[in-house]
Amino acid sequence: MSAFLSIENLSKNYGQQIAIKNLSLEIAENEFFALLGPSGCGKTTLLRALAGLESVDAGEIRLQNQDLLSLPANKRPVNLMFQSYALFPHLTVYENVAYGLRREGLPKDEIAERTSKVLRTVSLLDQKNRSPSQLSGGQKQRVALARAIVKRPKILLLDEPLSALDKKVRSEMQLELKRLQHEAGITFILVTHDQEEAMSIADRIALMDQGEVIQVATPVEMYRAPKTKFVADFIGENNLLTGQITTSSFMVAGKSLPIANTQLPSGSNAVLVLRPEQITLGVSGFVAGKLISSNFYGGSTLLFIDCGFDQLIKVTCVLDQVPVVGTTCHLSWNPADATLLSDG
Amino acid sequence: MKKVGSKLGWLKLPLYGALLFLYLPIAVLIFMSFNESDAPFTWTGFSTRWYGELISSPEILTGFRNTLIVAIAATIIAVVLGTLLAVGLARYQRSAALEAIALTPAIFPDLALAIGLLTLFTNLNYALGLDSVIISHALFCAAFVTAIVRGRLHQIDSSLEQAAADLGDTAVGAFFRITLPSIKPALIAGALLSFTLSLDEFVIAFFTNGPSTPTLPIVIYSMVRFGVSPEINALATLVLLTSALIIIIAQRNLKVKDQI
Repeated sequence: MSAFLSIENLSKNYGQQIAIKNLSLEIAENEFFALLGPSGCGKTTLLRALAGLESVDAGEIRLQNQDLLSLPANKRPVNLMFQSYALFPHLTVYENVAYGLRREGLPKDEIAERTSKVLRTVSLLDQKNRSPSQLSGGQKQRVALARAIVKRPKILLLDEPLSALDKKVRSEMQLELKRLQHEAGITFILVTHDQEEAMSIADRIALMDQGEVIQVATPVEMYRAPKTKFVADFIGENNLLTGQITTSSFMVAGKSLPIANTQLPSGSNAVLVLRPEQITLGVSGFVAGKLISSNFYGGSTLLFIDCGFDQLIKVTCVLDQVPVVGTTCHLSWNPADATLLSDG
Repeated sequence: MKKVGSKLGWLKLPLYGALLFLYLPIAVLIFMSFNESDAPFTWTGFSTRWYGELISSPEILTGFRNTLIVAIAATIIAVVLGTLLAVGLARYQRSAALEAIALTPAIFPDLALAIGLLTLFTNLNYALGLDSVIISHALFCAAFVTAIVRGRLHQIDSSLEQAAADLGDTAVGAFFRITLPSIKPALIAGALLSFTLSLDEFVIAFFTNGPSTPTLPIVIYSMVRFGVSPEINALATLVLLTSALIIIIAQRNLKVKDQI
């Protein structure tokens, strides 16, 4: 079975600088897919290559078994929502949204009908005669979305769509995006550097670094079973302890920690990945340390405990059990929950 | 606030001094253009007779007509070429050197440009006349248009054109539907500036013109050679006002549109 969208061995360099390195990826129909990674990891270049706004040096992109790279940007059944929104400043909201349909040469009443319908979906119908400069950030974002979606593309590409919005509007828009994706039945590919955003919104995530895909997984999988140290570090809060595997335990800074069965050979360097919520406080534990500070986050509190490692250990704790700063805490966890990754 | 202002009032003296220095000759010119007497340096009373005589002078009217033809034609050519050049510079290349080369004719010494053009036309055996002046004016005006439009293109988001392409528009369509409307204020400003520059340009017109089709500045020059008549004052005042008016319109246009 061939995938809806398949990217094969894609490469792109800017002079000496590698933007995309032999990248392969498969994306299913109607999937909400996120390309996640730090800035400069090549995620935006990949998105623009899909849109046809960036040429590639080598590789293939096939959409429903059709070669996408041979089509120019204006002929691809793919639409991009720009990070800057790129709304046409001299056109009204309505004209912005109708722009793509007019280029298709559709009959006038069909354009009017589809445009109005999409504007109603994003609740901007009563703003349709305004110019983009009269809109708020969230409204502009919705116009950009409406303009891209009205063409009924096979894939909607979103370049950091929520980065310009403040936190409250952002979470509303995340819901809105998810709802729209369901309603429209379109494959969404979203680029973001915000792991929380990717985790909360996407069906699957491809985590990229330096032009390569490091791991492709559902948010839960990626959180539970990070494939490399980079993934573990990038996704969520984590304690990453670098040490050495011995026959029955894991040695970190002279301390011996228990581990479950591992594939990694004894004597090799490894990283122990411990989520803050996997650690419990008790009267005895594997390690002990002094509570340095606690950060209150509403529902939970993040404790920072100095156990003599090269970093403070982060532990999640419920509000009414937060110890006084300065007390000695004993930390324990289920060794089977912790992940051991090779540190090469 | 008031106290500070009044204390430092004398600091404004250089400002007023500079303005006086700049505008005194022009003020004298305008003032004398309403002089009743034909003696250039003595005031005898207010009159608009020199403005009347302007209109009845066939040389001045021909000069004015020639100047208008040159200014309009040169402006049209300059705006088209300058805009294309600016778009090319902004969107299709990355060389800073090329950009500098494209903008240099604007600050080129007039005389050098004039001599160069004259040499070129002579070598090509091109008969000098209004058309050679139009070509020459279009050349240096285009550099100004390029500079203004280039500046505007710098401000507008280059992803606008990409968005148009993404929505299914061709490159040409995106240029006319998106690029051109967004740089419209710069086009108007560039056109007005070109028009004023061409309107009172003397050196290049003098070198590249034929003898039978003098433009207004050339007419004025040949009149001045036989002494400054009050007629010239009136004419210079009119040219000055036209230029000033156009520049003001151009600047307002750029500013107002930029706020939107």
